[in-house]
Amino acid sequence: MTETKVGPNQGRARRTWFVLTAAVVLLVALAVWNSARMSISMSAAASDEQQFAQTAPGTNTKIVVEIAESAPEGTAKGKILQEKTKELYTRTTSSATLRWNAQTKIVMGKEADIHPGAVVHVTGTVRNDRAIQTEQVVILTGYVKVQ
Amino acid sequence: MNSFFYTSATGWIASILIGVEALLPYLLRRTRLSERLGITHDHKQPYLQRMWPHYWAGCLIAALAFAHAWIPMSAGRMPSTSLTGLWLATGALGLVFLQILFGLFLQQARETRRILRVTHFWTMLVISALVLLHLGLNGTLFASIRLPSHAWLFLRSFVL
Repeated sequence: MTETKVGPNQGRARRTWFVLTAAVVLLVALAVWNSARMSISMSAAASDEQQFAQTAPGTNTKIVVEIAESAPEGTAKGKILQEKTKELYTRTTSSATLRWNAQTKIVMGKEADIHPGAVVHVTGTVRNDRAIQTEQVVILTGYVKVQ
Repeated sequence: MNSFFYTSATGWIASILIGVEALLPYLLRRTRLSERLGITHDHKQPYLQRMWPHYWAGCLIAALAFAHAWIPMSAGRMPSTSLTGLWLATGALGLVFLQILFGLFLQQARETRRILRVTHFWTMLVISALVLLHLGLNGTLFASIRLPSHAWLFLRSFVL
């Protein structure tokens, strides 16, 4: 039986290649994980208009809204959308008011993307005045169709 | 949302591979970098034969970049995003295919080798710059970063 001897230089070279390859694999895994995380946050289950109407103040809620009007001080109003398929939503007759501040996490876009016509998936707490104090706003404009 | 996942994942993997692809020739031949990392002693085959990961990564980048462009187009929906960024990405995709051709010619070239290597190098720099601009203008990760609005306007004024 023959035995292959690995010199110290060759051993170091192999270790370096292993570390470099592992770094690339880790980066790719992080990229896939980040894409999956974003994708899940976009398709997270949302309440319909009836469920939202029954939500008590102080309760956490998730809804999809088509923005009708927005104000620069961090408020917007819009129609609640009902999910038909993962990428198709229908308008309901119910409206919702959204409020956000510096702590609100805006995913897949920025604050300027919350404008009339924009479609957003919001996660937040229902206030006493029925407005939603948002914790996270995911910009869905362009990714979903509204009927 | 599957189309979003595949678009995002293929885009990020292609971006990472572009970095790896650009680095590989400096690791696979005797350079200051490869000597410092201690990987020059591993070189037993001729340089062009050692370059096989570079060739395969190049083809993989082209395939991933094509899929990255194809998936959202075939879904028929595009988010409201910078058209300039998309044009820059289209330019980068075209250059990736051209870069493969340069690479193939480089394997056989004798007299024109020097000029082809310079062209291959500068094309790599242009592709990297275009990809970075595309990430900045269309990428969701950078769009989520909270920069003051005037900072975004300042950055975008360079390319719009």
